[in-house]
Amino acid sequence: MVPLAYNYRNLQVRWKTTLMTAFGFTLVVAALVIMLAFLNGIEAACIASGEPENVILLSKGNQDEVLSQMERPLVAQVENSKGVAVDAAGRPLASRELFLAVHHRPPEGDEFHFLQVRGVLPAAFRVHSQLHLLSGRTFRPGQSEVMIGKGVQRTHHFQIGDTLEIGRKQWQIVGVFESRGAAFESELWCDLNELASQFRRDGLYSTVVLRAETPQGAEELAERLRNSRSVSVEALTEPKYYQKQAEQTRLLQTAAWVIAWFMGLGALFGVMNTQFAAIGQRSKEIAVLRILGFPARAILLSFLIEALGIAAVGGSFGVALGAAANGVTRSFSLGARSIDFAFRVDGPIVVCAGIFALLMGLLGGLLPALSAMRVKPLEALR
Amino acid sequence: MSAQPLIVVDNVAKEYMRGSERIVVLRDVNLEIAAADFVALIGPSGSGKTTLLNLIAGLDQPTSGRIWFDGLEISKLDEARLARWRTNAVGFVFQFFHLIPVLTAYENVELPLLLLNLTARRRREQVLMALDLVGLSHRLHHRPGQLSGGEQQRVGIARALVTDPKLIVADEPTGDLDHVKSGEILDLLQSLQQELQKTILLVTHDPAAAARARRVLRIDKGTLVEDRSMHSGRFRLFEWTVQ
Ligand SMILES: Nc1ncnc2c1ncn2[C@@H]1O[C@H](COP(=O)(O)OP(=O)(O)OP(=O)(O)O)[C@@H](O)[C@H]1O
Ligand SMILES: [Mg+2]
Repeated sequence: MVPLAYNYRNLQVRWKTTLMTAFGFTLVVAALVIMLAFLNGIEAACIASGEPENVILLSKGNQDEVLSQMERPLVAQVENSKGVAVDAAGRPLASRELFLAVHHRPPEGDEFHFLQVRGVLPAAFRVHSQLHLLSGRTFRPGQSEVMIGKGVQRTHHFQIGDTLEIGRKQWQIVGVFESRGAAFESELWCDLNELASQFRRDGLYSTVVLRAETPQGAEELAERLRNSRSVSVEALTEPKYYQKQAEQTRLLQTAAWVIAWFMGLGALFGVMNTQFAAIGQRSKEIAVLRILGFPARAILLSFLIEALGIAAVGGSFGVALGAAANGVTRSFSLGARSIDFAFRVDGPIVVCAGIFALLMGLLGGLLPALSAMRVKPLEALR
Repeated sequence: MSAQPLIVVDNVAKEYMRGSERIVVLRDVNLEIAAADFVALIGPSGSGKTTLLNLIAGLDQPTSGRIWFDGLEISKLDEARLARWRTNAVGFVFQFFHLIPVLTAYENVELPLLLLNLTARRRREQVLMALDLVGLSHRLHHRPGQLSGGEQQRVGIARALVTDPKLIVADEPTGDLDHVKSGEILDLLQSLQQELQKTILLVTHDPAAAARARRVLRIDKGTLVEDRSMHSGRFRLFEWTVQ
């Protein structure tokens, strides 16, 4: 094998070209890492939202609670289904919820934006067991009070004590909650009846969340309700529901890879160009190596390694650059709702981006390396 | 001279095709070279010197005829075998040195050893010995660019002899050097033959260089026309076309 020092020093000697070519890989890999970390963060936020004991019900034909509408009789019926856990007083653990995306106009500045508001009853806090207060208190029934998720607080900079104009009323912020990074953190929670009367939705619900004793029980409950003849609802365990929501990012994922491949093609041609130039300049050296007895495949390997070296250098910088996005929080709208998430760079992403860079390096280096392999020693030295 | 020649060139011809035109570069070459001889190959430009050297050194194959080296018919070997054989049997010295610029003198000399199954320690010993032989022990870690032309050629010679080959071929090794440096390089080649019993095949234009050889072959238009043994003072002129 041709010693690695040969490749290393050649890259070093023409360091400007090396770095410029490597920079192409840096850009692609950084972009890829950031795009994947973005999707990863969204998926993580979605999946964290589900509690495996919970079954979420939607009106027939709806996959998303934004469009779901269920009436009181149906809700009352499903709440008493077999398999729903009960509290100490014998009442089913069921949370009736009304979910609305409402206009909000901030006091200063004239830009409208949407807030996601969830009206709930006290049972909600037993069903959504992971939700807990960070500061302030919960809203009181019958009052125009809201508690806000910490994602909302972060993106809108609301404080406890602020009032929000939602519908025709002023609502006061009384508390901040968190829920292990779940989608709820992007929401405002308030009294169900207060919200319903504001928006003329009395007797209508977006969803009912039923809590089973065990995850296994939840699966069975969902299954039974889906197949039931007497009630007509969609029923999914929460993890499944949120996973489906995350699947909406599939298209984005495809788009991310398409972008990466196009950018990667740029890097690929960059390294190809650089390596062809290098081989042109070093054809006499190749000839001498062959005369000394190095086989053609050793030459091929040597120049492939050199291309891979460029890709590795650029790729490493790219990973480092992309990893800087790790933990950065943003909000993103998924379907009709917005979700707060943190960019998440993890091992598989780093490995994926690394392999991508090396693959591009390999493809870009292959043609030049093949031409190096085919250098005819006597002709090159003449 | 030993009875068994190291190299036997038997009725060799070399032709090239340029388009549909056939160019005969060598024809009817018959030659024997004894082990540990120092042979100079001279002749006008374009007469076929380099072509013949390349055939003997296993860099190219004759169009017809056969070549033996130490009993092995090298004109029969495929490319891979020929390459392996070259590493072991032949050392190459070039007119323009052809050292790898990014590698140090030490690393340049080590290159051919990487193709053999040697321990790192053994390689190191051989590299140091070769560089010592050419008087460059104090320049181990210099790059070619940091060495004079003469020094570079001595590194080239060290690289040629580091695998301890039987044959060292040198195509105009002094063509790019001044008079004094040329003398030093020729001294070195001569000592390789005299002290290490290497067989030297030297292609040159320079009469002074040819004068160092024990045997001088002259080639003209692709045929050997003169074969002179210097040490005995004998002079032979062959009609090479009639063997
Ligand atoms: N690959 C080739 N294709 C066509 N013709 C060739 C090829 N190689 C050599 N020749 C021709 O063969 C002839 C002999 O070439 P060669 O290099 O052996 O000459 P030489 O004696 O070494 O000359 P010089 O002293 O100039 O180096 C030249 O006419 C050359 O043009
Ligand atoms: Mg020549």
